[in-house]
Amino acid sequence: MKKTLLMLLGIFLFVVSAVAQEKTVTGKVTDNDNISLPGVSVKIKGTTSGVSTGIDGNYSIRASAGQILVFSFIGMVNKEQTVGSANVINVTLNSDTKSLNEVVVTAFGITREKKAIGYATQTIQGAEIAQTQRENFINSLQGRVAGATITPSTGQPGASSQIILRGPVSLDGDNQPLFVVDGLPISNRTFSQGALVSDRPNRDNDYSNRAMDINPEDIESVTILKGPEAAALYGTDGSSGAIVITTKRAASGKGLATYSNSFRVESVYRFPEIQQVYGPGFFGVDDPETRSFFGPKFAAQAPLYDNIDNFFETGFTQKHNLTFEGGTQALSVRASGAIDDQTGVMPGTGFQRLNFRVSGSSKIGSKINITSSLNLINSRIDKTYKGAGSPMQSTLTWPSNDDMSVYLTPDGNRRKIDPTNALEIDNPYWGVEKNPNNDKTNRFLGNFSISYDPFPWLGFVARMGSDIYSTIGNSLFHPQSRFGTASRGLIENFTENSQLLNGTFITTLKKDYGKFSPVFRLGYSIDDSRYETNATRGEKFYKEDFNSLNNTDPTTQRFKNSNPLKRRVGWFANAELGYDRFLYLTLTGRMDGSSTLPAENRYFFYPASSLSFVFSELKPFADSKVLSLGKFRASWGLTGKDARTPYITSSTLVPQGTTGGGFALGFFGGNAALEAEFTEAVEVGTELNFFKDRVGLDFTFYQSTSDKQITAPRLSYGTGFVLKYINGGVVRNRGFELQLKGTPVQTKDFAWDIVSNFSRNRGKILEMPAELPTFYLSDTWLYAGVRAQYTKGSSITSLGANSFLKNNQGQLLINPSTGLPIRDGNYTQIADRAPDINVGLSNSFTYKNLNLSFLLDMRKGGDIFNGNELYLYVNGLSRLTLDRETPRVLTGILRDGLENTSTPTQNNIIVTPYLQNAYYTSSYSEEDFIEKDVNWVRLKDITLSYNLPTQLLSRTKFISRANVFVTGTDVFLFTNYKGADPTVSGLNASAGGFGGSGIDYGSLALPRGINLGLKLGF
Amino acid sequence: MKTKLSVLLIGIIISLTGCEKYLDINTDPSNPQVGEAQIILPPIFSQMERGVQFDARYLGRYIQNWGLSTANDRWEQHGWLANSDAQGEIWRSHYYGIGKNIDLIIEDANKTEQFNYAGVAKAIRAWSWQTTTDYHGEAILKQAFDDTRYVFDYDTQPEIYAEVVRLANEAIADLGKTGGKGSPSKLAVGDIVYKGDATKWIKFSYGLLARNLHNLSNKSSYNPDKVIEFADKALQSNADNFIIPNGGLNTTDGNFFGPIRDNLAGYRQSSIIVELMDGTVFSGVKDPRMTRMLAASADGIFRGVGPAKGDPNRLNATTRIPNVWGEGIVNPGPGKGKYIFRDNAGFPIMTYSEIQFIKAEALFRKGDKNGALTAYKNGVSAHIDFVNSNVTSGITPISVGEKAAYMASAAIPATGAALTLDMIMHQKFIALWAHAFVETWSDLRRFNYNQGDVKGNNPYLSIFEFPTPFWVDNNGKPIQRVRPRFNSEYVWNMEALSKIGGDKSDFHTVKLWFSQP
Repeated sequence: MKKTLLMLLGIFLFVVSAVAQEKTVTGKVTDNDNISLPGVSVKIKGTTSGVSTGIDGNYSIRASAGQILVFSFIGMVNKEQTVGSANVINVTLNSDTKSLNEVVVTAFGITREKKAIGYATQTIQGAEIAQTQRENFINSLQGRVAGATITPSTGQPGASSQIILRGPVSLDGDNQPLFVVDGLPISNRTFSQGALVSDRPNRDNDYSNRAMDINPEDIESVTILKGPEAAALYGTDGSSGAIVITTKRAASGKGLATYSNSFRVESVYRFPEIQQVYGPGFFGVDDPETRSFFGPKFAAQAPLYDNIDNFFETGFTQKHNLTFEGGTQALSVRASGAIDDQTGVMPGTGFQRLNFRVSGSSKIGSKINITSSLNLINSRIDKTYKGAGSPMQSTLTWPSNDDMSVYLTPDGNRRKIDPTNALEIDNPYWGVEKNPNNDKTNRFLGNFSISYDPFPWLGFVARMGSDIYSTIGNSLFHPQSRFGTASRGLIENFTENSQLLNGTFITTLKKDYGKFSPVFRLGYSIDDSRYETNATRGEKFYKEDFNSLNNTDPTTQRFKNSNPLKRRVGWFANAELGYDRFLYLTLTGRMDGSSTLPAENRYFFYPASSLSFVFSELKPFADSKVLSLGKFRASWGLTGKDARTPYITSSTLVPQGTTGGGFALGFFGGNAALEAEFTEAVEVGTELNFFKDRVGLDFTFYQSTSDKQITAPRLSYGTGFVLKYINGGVVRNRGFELQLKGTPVQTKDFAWDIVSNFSRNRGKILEMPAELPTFYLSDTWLYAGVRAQYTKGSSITSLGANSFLKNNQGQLLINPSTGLPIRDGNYTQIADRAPDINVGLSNSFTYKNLNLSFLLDMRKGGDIFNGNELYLYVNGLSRLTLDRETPRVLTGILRDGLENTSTPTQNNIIVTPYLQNAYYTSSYSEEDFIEKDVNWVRLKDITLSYNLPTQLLSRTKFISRANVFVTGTDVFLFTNYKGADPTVSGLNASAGGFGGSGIDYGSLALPRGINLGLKLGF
Repeated sequence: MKTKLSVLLIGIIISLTGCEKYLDINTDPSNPQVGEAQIILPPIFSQMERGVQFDARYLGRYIQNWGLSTANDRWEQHGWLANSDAQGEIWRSHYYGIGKNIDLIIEDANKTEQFNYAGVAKAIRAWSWQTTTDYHGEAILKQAFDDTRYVFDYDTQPEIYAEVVRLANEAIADLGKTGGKGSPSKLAVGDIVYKGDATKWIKFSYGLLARNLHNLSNKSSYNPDKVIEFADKALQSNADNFIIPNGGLNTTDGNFFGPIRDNLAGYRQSSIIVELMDGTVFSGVKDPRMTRMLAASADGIFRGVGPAKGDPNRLNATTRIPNVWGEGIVNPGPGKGKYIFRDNAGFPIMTYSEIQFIKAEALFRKGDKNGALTAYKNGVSAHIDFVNSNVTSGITPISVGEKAAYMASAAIPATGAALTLDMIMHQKFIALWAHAFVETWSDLRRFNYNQGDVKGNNPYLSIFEFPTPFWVDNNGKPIQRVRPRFNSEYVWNMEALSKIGGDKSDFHTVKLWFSQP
């Protein structure tokens, strides 16, 4: 009835307009914040004539009374105004927040109405990401994306961050999602030390994850795809989800320039806490030449230095970003340039980046559309080593009664606490100066796409992309360094030349038949990726302080080339069957061919389906004033995955540096019978919006089961190898994601928006590969006896470790000769790093031109290995050792042969740790340093911004918009965790499985940053 | 529409066939995945020494070649370390480092008709089985390297002994083959030990047969004539010694025992080796080899450590025992060191001297004492020459006069009648010291250390002392075997290992088949 009325009204107006007199209508278009909007399209409905607003938001158009003006602008709700008697029509456009009209970019740049999608997606606006002022935009996703776990490797500039959506599936391989920019994949690789000559385990150094090269200011939006159907479209790389980035494009209209900057100071404010009561020595006896602190108390008047605080500096960062955009409907161009210059909180660390990007689109006729972009990135990272023996760790054990900043001896050599011990870890001041460690990257990202729509029902899109970069890494240990002494200086360099080429071709057929609105897509994709690394290494420096491989003894120079090359082809078909705007069924099938599988198993097919049922379109909900959107969705799908590593269908002979050279079989046994692995995923969810979308709920439950994954467990050497590639194991992940949104207050001047994300994931190993009793990841075994370890039935995020021996009654066993507990050499599962629940809570308050928004990242539960505390403990620096002078008898049973009888001997041996240092140094149990159920609340970011009033700006004539802001990042952390930072990683983002998350050892905590900046539009 | 669909279908089919070629790139461009015999052979030599040298750090303590300066060491107490890969390197080298690489050589050799390469590969595998079983006892034989298995059953020691004989005989046959396309010069490309000389490989194979058979001296089936026959066909002089070269230029190609690798800083020569050379054992005769092989304290006196006793003078700079490199207790730096503890010293796998001592013992057991004396003298003389080939620039070689004096001393009896089995075993201990660790251990076990063998021979009674006490798990018994590698068998193959008793805490004291009657 309503519709009929409207139609009648329309016809009436049309008739009226036909007879009306044409006149000039002028006006101004502004947004909610009363900021003028340039480039808004103003069209007369039903005609082709239209204009765009100018830089000041003003327009002028010839129209007749009764005609309807349609104002449209990307990201805004269209507005229609009927021309009446007035000659001036000012319009305010509202941001498009209405979920019904929301559009989601899915695979290959396919945009779909959100309501038609039968799986969970989440979109974050680029502005929100850029506002956090983070160099690595992935770090801004923590807390914003339900189900995403982001683990930064350290708090150093340029640090890599690992992102895992929902939960890890692969036991030992990469679990990070695919990154897609404007429809084509880009590399988010973190350089892995496996390619170095020394083939190291990614513990002592960090390399950036390459998605951080993207300039956050170029991001229009980021969509996170987690469901199986999304993956089915992207194929094997998308099986861990996809981060789909859409970059900013120029709007047609008059040219526009924006400039923004930001200045940040940052400082680190959380450290492992050390005791400053007892001095260096052993057994209560002073020994000024040790960095173990079991000596007597420091003298009351002894000057003590705050070496840790003194060492760390205030980091400073500046960013400048300049953008030009403009053009016509037929041709538009956007160009941006950004400079980042950061110095870190550790002396000598820093990050510099130049990022230039040009993107354009042009229309040829009405049927052909071409878009392309070029992005050039140049970056340099100066960093320090992490983990064991790193400057971070050295700051902890430098004696408090010694001024650490005196790092040279009078004759200019490395100053040591024990002058005779060349293997003492480096003084941190000396280390950061003498052991340079840096990476330089040049990257070129190109993207070209052409679409041709010969008929309204038929369209073709072809895209081609290239991602080419080269990273040059240099790390050195000075001949006097703890790690350079034996080799008399050590340089290790690498050049990684990476190249991703990909193309897709998609045909779309769509036509509405009454209430049916089917869309069919047929697509083809082709990918070629290669990462060629040349690594070099040399020892025995001729000249002590000269950082060049030419400065090393030729007989020590080594070289290694690695060149993993992968190719894939994929065909996919996708049918979206919509019925009457409320029921959508999507069916997808994909066949992939991969070069990494044996030829006979090379092709594999996998289907997916999803259903979206928008019941709010139906009666009685359609008329409901309460429910504005009600949707139920379900999806099921299989995802096929090829071998992530190429060349593993047969074993590889690796070069040997031993006398005589030659080749020998490597650690990994190849397998000519490998086949694609499959993950079956189901997902159900609902979206409910109430009160005109003022309140919204989005809930998803999912389960994925991976079967026969390609993995390389350790096996008996009877295989002839140390590890062997096999298909095996069943891993199940289950969890939920809940997003609640609300706008509790919305008045003319004041608005309050809340978005909260809750998520939980549980990954469980239902079957072990090859029915192995256990499977551990050696890279995670980085300190003491703690390591990521799997057994049947265990969590995929579990840690195994040594604990104390117990008798058959579970009582602690005590060594009868020492009175100390006995370490059990067996590895038992003792921790699960997965949190019970993750919560992200963001709030935004807007009052007139002022906005305050902040994001809290919270988590409950999940265990963390406080390796730093254990390190301090065994060196007598932990505050847990302060009661060392108290004699004690440990409750337990003597291991005297009677321990498992009915009459065990109670321990009665008195131990005074002050005199028996073994109490700390060798009688610890790793289990005591696993902190259980760690909770935290971290203020990830907070921004206060102010838009300068337009009246004020209009006087300048050239500044159209101006905004000043203050942003704080990682401002505070409330946690029951006793260490410095529970979020950092013991490894870097190239580690497989769950990586080094939850292993806190030798990594710098995240610093607190305060940014001050300005944005100007011209 | 139909035609369009079929066009599309045809397009897909065409692109599929094109894809085959496009996707055929799964071979590593950086490293070969198929190799020729001559490029796979060289690293196998370094794997042979790697296994023995790595594990010698512990085995050398069991057999009292050396010990630590600190007391109560678990290995000197014949103990072991649970949940550790320490002592597991021979296992690793046998199954992984040497392992399937041998198959690759044999495959390629058969394909290219280079029988000498096949013979070399079989001889090395025979050596590796012999070393592995003498060290570990039972091992995975029949199911080893089976591509379809994840767990592997153990086979008995007699089966492995038989396998050594089979492989050594096959090696001898292959090396003696004429025809085919092999040649000494082609073999020399990969053979950095015998430089392509198949006759030396045949001698080495006979040497293995001699070792294999001689180890069974306690069995009633022991046949000294056969041992003598093998010894006579084995190494004929020091020129036939099987010595693995070490470049010594960097930490990768340097000798594991050299200063550049820095693995022996804590090790001290044992009192046995000192007493065998300083005149304590050989009636006051000072052995000229002592100053060239061993390290004197700062006061010029040679001292050694007793089992699990440590160096009582370790804090005294004048009287403490230096490490084996001979310059105090610190690492003297790359390029330094003495005897075979140098960066570029070769590591012996089999020496003429050892073969002569095997022969001497076999002749002695047979009752041919004069023959035994000749072999004994050959063994001593050859080892003196061997020592001379390992002196460094700062040390004067043993002069002709010194050697002659020693050969005429009381250490070398004038007549066969004066020769004792003790002398043979004592001189063999010197000649095998610090390289033939497994062989010395087999000797010690054949004679039940200082308890004597089935025939009542007890040559180590006067020199070998048991530690007191033995390690806690030993139940008062000496070490007889080393457990299979932890991170191979205890973690991934426990079920099979338990079947042979590997789960027992005193498994390492269970006697092996070879040393039993």
